[in-house]
Amino acid sequence: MSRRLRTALDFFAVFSLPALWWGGIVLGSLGVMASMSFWTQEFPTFRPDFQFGNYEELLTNNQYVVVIARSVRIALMSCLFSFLIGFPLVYFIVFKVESRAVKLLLYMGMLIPLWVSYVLRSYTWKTILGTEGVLNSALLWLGIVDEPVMFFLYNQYAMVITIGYICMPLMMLPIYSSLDKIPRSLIEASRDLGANSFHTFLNVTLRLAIPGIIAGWTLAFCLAVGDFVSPILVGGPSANMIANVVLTQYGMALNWPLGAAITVVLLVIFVILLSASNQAERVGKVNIE
Amino acid sequence: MDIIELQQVTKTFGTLTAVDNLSLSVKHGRYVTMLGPSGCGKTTTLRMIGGFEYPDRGHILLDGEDITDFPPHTRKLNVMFQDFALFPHMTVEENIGYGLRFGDGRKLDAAKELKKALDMIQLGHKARSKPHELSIGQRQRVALARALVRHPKVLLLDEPLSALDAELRATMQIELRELQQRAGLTFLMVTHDQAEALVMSDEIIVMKDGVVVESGSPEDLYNHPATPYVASFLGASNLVPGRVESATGGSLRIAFGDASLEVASNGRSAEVGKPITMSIRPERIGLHRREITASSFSGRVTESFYRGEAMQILVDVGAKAPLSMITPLSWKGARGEIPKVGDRIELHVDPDSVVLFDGHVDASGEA
Repeated sequence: MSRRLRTALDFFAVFSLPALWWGGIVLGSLGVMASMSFWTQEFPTFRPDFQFGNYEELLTNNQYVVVIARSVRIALMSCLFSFLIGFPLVYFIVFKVESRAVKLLLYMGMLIPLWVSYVLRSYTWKTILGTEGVLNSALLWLGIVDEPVMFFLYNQYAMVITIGYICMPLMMLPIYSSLDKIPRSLIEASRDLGANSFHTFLNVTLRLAIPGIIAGWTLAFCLAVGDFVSPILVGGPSANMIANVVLTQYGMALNWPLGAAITVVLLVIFVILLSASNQAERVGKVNIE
Repeated sequence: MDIIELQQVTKTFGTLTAVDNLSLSVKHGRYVTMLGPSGCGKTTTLRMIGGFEYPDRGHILLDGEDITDFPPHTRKLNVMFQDFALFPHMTVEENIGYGLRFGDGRKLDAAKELKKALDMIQLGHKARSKPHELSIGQRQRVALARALVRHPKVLLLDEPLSALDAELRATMQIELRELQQRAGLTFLMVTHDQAEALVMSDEIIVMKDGVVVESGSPEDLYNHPATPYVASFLGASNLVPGRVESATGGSLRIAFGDASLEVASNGRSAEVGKPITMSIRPERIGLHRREITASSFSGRVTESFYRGEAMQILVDVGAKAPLSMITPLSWKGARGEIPKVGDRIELHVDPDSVVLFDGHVDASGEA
């Protein structure tokens, strides 16, 4: 058997199944959906067509822009929340934990929430923040309030906390990876050259963690902006995110073409976002030996 | 005046005692090397002086000031790290200039110091390059400049040449030594390479298992080691077990293997029959040329090795192990005179160069 034939067969053996999956199922279904975005709704179903009415609707009807803006804002706030809590946690595990066993344990602890159902993890916050939840019970017990506080739940802040909590592993893992790669001698060198802990953190640690931070924010944002569970469970009345709108179009509204159009727009935004993030990461990336 | 003083410093890691009640001092303006095998505590000691570890007990003084608990950025010394530890995201300029941004570094004229540093290491043309664009030798020079830019009282060097290849290492040994002497700086270096320590140091502190075994100038330690351990750690040594045959005047006759040899007693008293170990340097054993002297003995060549500048010959004298000797090949006829394997040859030893130890001991000091 010639070497070229062997190489070709090897290539096929390894890549044919993933290629089929990708080309056929993933890209194929995206293609079907993209073409469906040009169809027309004919209540109660829809028919194949080629028209831009759905996109027109998205651009002119203000409510869609409002929902997208709200989704982005909530997603950013959730990212901020998970970053502000996640970063110190990761920093602690990487730099302040000496024992390798404990470090491993805590690292796994970061990952384990991912094994639990996403819906269940969101529901947890409904329980915690509710009138009979842990938070209210604690406040009552401590005597800080006389009766349960209503405003913990069913608003944007509840959503931010819930989504932020869900996204935390995705935020923490890339940052952990970046921080862990920093050679200890760099930190020691910085201290040796006169920089105290704060200056060392700013000039060395944080700077070298930037690729991980960008990656963490990107992953967390992509997950957060597409969340549809927290608006339903903890969001309250006007808490619809863009994913809920898509859900409605595919569900009650029976307007798959419109749902498809919204999805296509979101996908385009994601692609632009990921490319920008990739570029930023590359700029911040540093050649550590 | 001692610029660095360690007073009974102890450091343990769990059950391991890395540094055991260690006291040492470094005089101003000298090149001092802590030498020993891996795990002897030399690196831990250096790290404690630098402030990256804190002793469990004892004190560290810098120029008379107790700096035992001071954090690294407040100590007026600097470190050259084994892996150089150059900041990968900064240019050469920014790396060297880093120390001028904080604390006492700000009191210096940054532009002037930077230029001086770049000139010293001759890398002005690479000022805007990043570390990964430099060769290993260039990175090392940047690390050196960076560590000196704040004019520290002492420069700590942690196995500074171990990342370099043999040729570069030989060059840098001389360069570092010359720099230290020219600038009148105090260098404290850690290494496991005894040849390096011999070349570069004013004083060598030999360490083992967390304690100082012996310290002194390279010549003193090499020619008059106090222990078999130091005798075999610094340079090569034949530790030959023997017995005192007779004692006359200033010499002792030692019987070993099938032979015997007269050596200087150096005031050592010894009864006849007493077990004694001789430390004989391979280069002090010579191929016999003239008449037989009291320091001559004979043996049979078992192996020979060509080493470029010299021949190494193993000679069987009827003892447990063959004697190793080195003969320089420095002149034209030399190679022709080298005995072949199996030859019976006459050798002699400079009687003043043999170091004696009581009992039969090996390199670890055990019988």
